[in-house]
Amino acid sequence: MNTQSLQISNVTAKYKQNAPIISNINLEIRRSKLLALLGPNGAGKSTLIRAITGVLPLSKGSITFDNHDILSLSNRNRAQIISVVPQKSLLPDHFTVRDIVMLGRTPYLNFLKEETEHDNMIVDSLLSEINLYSIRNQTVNNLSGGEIQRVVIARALAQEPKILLLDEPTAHLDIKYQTVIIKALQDLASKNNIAVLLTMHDINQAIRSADSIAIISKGQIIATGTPHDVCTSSNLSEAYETKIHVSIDPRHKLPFISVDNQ
Amino acid sequence: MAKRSLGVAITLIILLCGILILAIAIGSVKIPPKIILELFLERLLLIENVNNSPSKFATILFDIRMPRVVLMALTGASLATAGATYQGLFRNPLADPYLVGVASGAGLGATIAINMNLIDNPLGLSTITIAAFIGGIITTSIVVLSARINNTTPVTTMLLSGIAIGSFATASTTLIMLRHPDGLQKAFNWMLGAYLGGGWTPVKIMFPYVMLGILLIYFNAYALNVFQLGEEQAHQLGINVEKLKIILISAATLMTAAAVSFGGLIGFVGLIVPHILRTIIGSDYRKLIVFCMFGGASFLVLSDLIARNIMSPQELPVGIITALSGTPFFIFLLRKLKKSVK
Repeated sequence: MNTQSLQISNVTAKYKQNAPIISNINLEIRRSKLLALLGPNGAGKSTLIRAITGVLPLSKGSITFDNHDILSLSNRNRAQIISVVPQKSLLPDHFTVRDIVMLGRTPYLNFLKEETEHDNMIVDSLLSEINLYSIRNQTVNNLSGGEIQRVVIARALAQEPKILLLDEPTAHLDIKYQTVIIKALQDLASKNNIAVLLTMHDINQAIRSADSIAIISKGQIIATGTPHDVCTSSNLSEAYETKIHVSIDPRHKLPFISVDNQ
Repeated sequence: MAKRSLGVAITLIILLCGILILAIAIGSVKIPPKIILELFLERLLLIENVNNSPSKFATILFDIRMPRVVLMALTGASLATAGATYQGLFRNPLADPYLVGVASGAGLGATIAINMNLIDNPLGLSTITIAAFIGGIITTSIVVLSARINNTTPVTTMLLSGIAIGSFATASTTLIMLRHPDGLQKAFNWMLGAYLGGGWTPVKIMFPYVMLGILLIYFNAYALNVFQLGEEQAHQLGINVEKLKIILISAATLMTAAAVSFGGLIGFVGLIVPHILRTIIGSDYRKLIVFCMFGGASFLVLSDLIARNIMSPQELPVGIITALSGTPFFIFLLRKLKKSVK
């Protein structure tokens, strides 16, 4: 039984003198589980990811993993625990797929920054696992959107994280790759015992794929729990400030949302 | 890939050696190869009077040509390495010591030192380097601080403020030169990279700065690879972004200052050398930095060889040769880039 989890307690964060973007956030993400964070544009989803990784300092609250304060760790040690798939990835043109994935080994390199056999082994096995081995020597400017997203996820996994944060990993992907990526994340979470937080825009997809859901609105969590408990018409309508209907999808017996056009 | 890099490395080292030998052997005063060889043997083996050649050949060879060639090699290596570092740091292929304003700031510092006669002190000529470094660091600080938004330094604002503050520094340099007409010729010659006299002194002054800069950049070159994913991703991969930015900017500024203080304003080396090498060996900065040292040195020594001999006995400033050869090459690169985008 593994009870390790990422605990976000009373977290408030802001940019310089501005008003807080997120305030009093409380969330728990268990290992091997997927938590989907839903909310309208500008609700604070990406800001929360920045706060968890220490890019944006907290003005209040704490973030712990297995009861250890992860924000007091050095960047390098934190990068061995948390990895991030950003919403938009900058990928340098001249780098090959393998070069990019190898950058995920950065937090483990020694003083001379040379990759070891162990690093090569991890990267090669990831490349095969995520179906990138055949294109490993291609430069990234020749790849399709789906391939690029897989490269970025492979790079994040090369960090051997215990917590994986993904900012809209399925945006800009067609329906086939959305399914492929979500399935891969579910498998990876349970196989490697990773706690996964992903922000999403497609509510129905979040309901089908996540173990639990949190809804964030105007920087605050307004509901958290199982998809059944959280995805109610009142919660969603409040968060998105639009009338949202929730019915039950007869195939999966899960909530299914739809929106009036008026 | 590894084999290819080794091949390129060997080629570059042979090329540099060949260019160095040519640059020492060829000049407005013709010295027969046999005498050059004898003079070198004499020096190396400490043999005296192997030949009866006039001693002026030895003076030209060891006290005029060699220090100039070594100075050019150090200057070229510095500009190319600093250029590659700025390009990596700011994720912009156009960033070089001139575009980010550092060279102009260093130039202003050096002009102040030359025209205000600050050289007449116990530090002597190294005052120019120190003044150039101070000028470069002040410019960089103003550029970075004025470009900063929310604790980050976006590339676009950085380059815009680099161009603006660089222009300000260049204008100030011109103003100082016009206000001190007696030093005008001196400052003008220096600016075009025609700082001549001094023998080995400039080399001795420059060497430690260049070495310090190269070591700092070499040991942090891997971080430049990670920087290509963006600063936020670099942070999330465990890189101490702000600390490394300060180290790398200081090191590149130090090398630019050393280059500018004796080589003057020599453009294009920091832009073109890293570009050519990147297309051959790829973008791994751990390799690129080392290759830029050799490539930059070869390019500038060759340019200087042409500058000294093309209109012999009149010598041209080396900056003219780098600009004349660099501009068409740059346009060629841009066109190639445009085609590959299509």
